[in-house]
Amino acid sequence: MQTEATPAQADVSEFDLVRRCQAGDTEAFDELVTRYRTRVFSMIYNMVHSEQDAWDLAQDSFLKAWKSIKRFRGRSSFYTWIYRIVMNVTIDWLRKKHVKGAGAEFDDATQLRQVDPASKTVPKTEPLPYEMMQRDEIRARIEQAIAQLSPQQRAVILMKELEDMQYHEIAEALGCSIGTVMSRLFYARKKLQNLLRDVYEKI
Amino acid sequence: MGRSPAYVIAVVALIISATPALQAAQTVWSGLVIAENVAQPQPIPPELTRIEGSLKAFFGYNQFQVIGQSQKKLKTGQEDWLATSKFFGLYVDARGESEAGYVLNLKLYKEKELLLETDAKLSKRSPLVIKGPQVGGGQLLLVLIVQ
Amino acid sequence: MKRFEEKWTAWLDGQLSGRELAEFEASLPDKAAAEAEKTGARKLRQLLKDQLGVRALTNEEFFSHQIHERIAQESGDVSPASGRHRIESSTWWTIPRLLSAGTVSVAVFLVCTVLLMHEKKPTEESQYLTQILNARVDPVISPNATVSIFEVKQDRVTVLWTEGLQSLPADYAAK
Repeated sequence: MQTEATPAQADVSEFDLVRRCQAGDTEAFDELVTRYRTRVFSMIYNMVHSEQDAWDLAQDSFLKAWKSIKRFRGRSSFYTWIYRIVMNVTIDWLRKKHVKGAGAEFDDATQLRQVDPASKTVPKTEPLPYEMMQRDEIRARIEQAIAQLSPQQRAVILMKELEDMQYHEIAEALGCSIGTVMSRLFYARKKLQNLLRDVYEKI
Repeated sequence: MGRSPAYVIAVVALIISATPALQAAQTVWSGLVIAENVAQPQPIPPELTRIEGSLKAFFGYNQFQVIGQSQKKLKTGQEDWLATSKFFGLYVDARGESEAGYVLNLKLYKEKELLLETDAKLSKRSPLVIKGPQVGGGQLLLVLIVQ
Repeated sequence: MKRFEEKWTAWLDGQLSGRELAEFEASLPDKAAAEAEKTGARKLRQLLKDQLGVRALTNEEFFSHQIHERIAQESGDVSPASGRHRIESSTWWTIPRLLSAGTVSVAVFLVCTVLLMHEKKPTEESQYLTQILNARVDPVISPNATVSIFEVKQDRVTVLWTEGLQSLPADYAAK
């Protein structure tokens, strides 16, 4: 049972747990797993849409975290650090499965200053009456839309929109620049807005 | 070398007094086993050779594969996971020991669901086999043997 | 210098301020359309939060237990440092000590053999079979399940036989 703690107290206790892990204390690591297992699993599930695979990947991520815990220097939060491992594991897995979004990956060389912010890059889908949609149908639409993003775009949109992570935290988790994060967000949001406009406009 | 005889006597006395205690905490092997019929069966795992004849004759399968196992010394009052696999887990609550065997409460979990619970006296000379659910073309068996 | 996409994203997320904000908004060809797009992005965010949210991890304790077991397995290897320590400590075993240890070992072996021979009397072997005291199946999960008990004389095996448990796909045979 976890008691309420101020952010400062929580940071200190997590720092202490990490120190103990680095000394080989598996019980301290058990505590960290307990704190983050649901969020890690949830993030991975939203990336891969399979409970079984999300379970395996979450396990692999925590195991990798344990093996590399001594390299954690405390420059970022433990949360950001473990997300980096989670993203590496998950995106590698997606690549191996050849899961690719329908859209192109962000290309540094592309010049896009002329893009009209209100433009639509894909044809609008035929809207369905919102009243006819059940919750699971809405969720299926969302999952299908996210599946059309590239793994990197999926990662940034989920970390930003669901986890409310800052740009620099996402950049650290993905091992890229802040500018790249912001550009990927731009394209991911554009794509999802076009695919899901009929869904969210009815809310 | 003069101290050696005293040394030997002290050690022997220690062994004699400790023997009953050593015998009390025996190891229990538990296994989650998938039993099925295949064209070219794999050899039976060494942990199951003792009851190979019974397994084959009683259940009618020719191949037994261990998907999860554990070897633990059970102490009264101890609760722990025994054999586990990716989706199944066998949980034990060791409630006592008598001349007849270990009194155990066993729970078989499939992920979060409790499939089966049993209270058993596990004899030191009599293995316990629990028939679980059908899994694909095979059968899940739980095996507990006091070693 | 920031690209357009970066500025747009920052503007959408309310991260622009002061002069940078004014300059960006002045550069937009159609501010009304841009504001509509911004509103749409907020609705999309809310939709994703509402519909995706946190996915529950079924059997969290089992999840942690599996990780703990995997770490324990990984930690079973001997580190090079401890190996070196053992090599260094082996020099403690001088010849007289080895001889003493050998004498003690032989004596212990003889005593234990005698003790075991005395203890292994046929009348003292356990004559008890494993007993099933009771068994329960969740009626909600398996409403038609039944339980029976058998004793197999060969190998003295006790079998708790269940019928009616829900069949599972082959994936559940994973290790």
